[in-house]
Amino acid sequence: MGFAQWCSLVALLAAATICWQLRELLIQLFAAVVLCVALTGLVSGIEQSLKIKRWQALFMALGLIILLVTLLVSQLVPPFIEQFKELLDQLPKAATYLTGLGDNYFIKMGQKTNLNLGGGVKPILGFVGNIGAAALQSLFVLAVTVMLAAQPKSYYQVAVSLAPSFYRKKFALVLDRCGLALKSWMFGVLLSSICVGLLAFFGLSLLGVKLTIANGILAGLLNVIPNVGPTIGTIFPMAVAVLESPWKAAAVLALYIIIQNLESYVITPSVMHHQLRLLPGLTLAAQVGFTLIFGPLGLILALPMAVCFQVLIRDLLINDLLDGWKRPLGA
Amino acid sequence: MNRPSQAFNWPALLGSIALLGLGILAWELRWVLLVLFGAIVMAVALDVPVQILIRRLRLKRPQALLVVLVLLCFLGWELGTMLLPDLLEQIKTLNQLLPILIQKLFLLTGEINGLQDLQIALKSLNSISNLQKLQPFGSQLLGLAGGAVNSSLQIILMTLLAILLCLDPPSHTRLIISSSPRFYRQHVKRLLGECRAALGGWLAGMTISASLVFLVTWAGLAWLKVPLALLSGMICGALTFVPTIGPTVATLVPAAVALLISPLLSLQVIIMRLIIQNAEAFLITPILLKHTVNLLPTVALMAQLSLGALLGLPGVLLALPTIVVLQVLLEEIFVKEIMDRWTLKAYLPARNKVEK
Repeated sequence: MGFAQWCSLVALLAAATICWQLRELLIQLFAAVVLCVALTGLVSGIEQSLKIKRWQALFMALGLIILLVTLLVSQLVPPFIEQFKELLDQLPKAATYLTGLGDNYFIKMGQKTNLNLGGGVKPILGFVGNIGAAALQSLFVLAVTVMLAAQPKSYYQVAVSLAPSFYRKKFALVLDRCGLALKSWMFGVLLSSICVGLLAFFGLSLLGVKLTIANGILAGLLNVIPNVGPTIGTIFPMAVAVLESPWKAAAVLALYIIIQNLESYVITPSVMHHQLRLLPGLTLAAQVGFTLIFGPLGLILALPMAVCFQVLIRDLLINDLLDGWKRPLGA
Repeated sequence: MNRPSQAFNWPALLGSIALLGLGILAWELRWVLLVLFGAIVMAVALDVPVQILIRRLRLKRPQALLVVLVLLCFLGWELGTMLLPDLLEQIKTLNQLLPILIQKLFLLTGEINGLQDLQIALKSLNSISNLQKLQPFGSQLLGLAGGAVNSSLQIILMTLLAILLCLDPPSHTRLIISSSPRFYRQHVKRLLGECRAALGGWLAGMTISASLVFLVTWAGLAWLKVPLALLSGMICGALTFVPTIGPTVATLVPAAVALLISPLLSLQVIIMRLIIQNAEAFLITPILLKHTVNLLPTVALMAQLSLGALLGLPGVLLALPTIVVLQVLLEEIFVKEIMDRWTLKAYLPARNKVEK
């Protein structure tokens, strides 16, 4: 190995270290890229169907999304807060009812909390700080998304020009494939989320549980995160149902298990392109791995990242490197 | 693999180990490097008017630098005497207004039911921990004072270095050129020239745009009859050099001051700042920097956050000049020298060699 090669090895190591240090920022950038792919899909759809200019389509798409999000939030948040308050009121009662020895314990707890008010402030402040940081992060992601969507071509050119010259055509192709895979994955998830949300809505209204619309929307949203999301999504309607009667909670649990199985064995296989279907074990492994590396945002983005990595590994590693790797003649 | 002497190149290995050591040393001394880079940026900023003077008035470099420094000091002094009494008064009123502002914010948060608990908690925190926390607070204050001394020392060091660098740029350039391999020297010379041009263009463009922002903000705030208009205008102008993050932070000052008078006025101020900021970012700056630097907005934002995460606040402040220089170097060395020339023909023989 000559000096140039050693230099590039050192530079590569330094770049890897810096990337590792900045992994939280990189995952936010990836989130922005995923959102941007969705946004550009919508924008080009509007552009082609209405025959208007790109920036007009961009503004239209942004307006549409803002409208949709405000609608969702106004539909979701107020009933949830109300219900949550009720739940918090009911929870101690339920606990006393269940355990039967709660009285003393709760009085003790009350005394403790009174004494520890000063100590309790710190977690509250930390919590507020966390919310602030999360708000800043999402603001950053949104800003980068809009910036990327405003001129995607120039970013694409920059990315391609960073590859070696003999590889640029292939690299551009791989980037296109990644974008296509992300787009079709998002389309499939959108369809299956709508199905799951509708199923949850109808099931809950059949059972006569309160807050059917909000719970249906929640189930649809959490369907984006496999395994973990539906589990979290079950908690809230069950809690609501417990307030009415225990058997209803069991019925809700059964309903959600049925919906979950329907989603993973009937809906997803029929809407998702077969190349994008990940093996269930691989999905879970990706979720755990990305959560450990990137934190909570990694859990949310585990599936899109796995879809991208799948394309990259198939095209770059397997097709170009491993398939052409013959046994060395001397060995 | 037939000849061991060719397979293992000891000088190359030693050289790269030395390079690694240098890299680690540079990382440990990153504060010094940051100050040095700040000094270089400052020197380039000084060099732009100095070169104009040299060309127009046919002065020698030290004389021209002296003229520029004296002019700068004079301008600063004039501005100071003109604005300082006003400014001092405004800062005094700001100090008086701050407690009222905090109270007003408390009132506003009190109206939102959910936050009342937090408010009570904060009050209890104040009453309980005043005595206990006095000591750490004292040490914190000392730390703050130490930090202020440290940063002012760094700024003085940076200014001195900048003046020294600006006094004799050719010999410093020669030093850098002679420390590169001989076959690469011509190229390094060209690269240095390009970096300097990009940095100078960026600085000149941003200075114009910052002064425009300062004037417009000042005028707008004075028109809206917001107190502390001058101070807010200066802060907004100065923070224009830190795109995206700076103007957003700078908007908080006039908005908070306006909140004291009425929420409506605060809203007006925020809308005005939004218009100015967007006009600056999407109209003025692109026109001014059209021929010198072409930075994509996401690249600038990412650079700020990355350097902030790696180097702290000074990193954020110096992020844009750094990325301007880095972009030139990356484009010239990484893309044009390495990636553009890396064809399959150059790659295949190496692979064959390994296979043999």
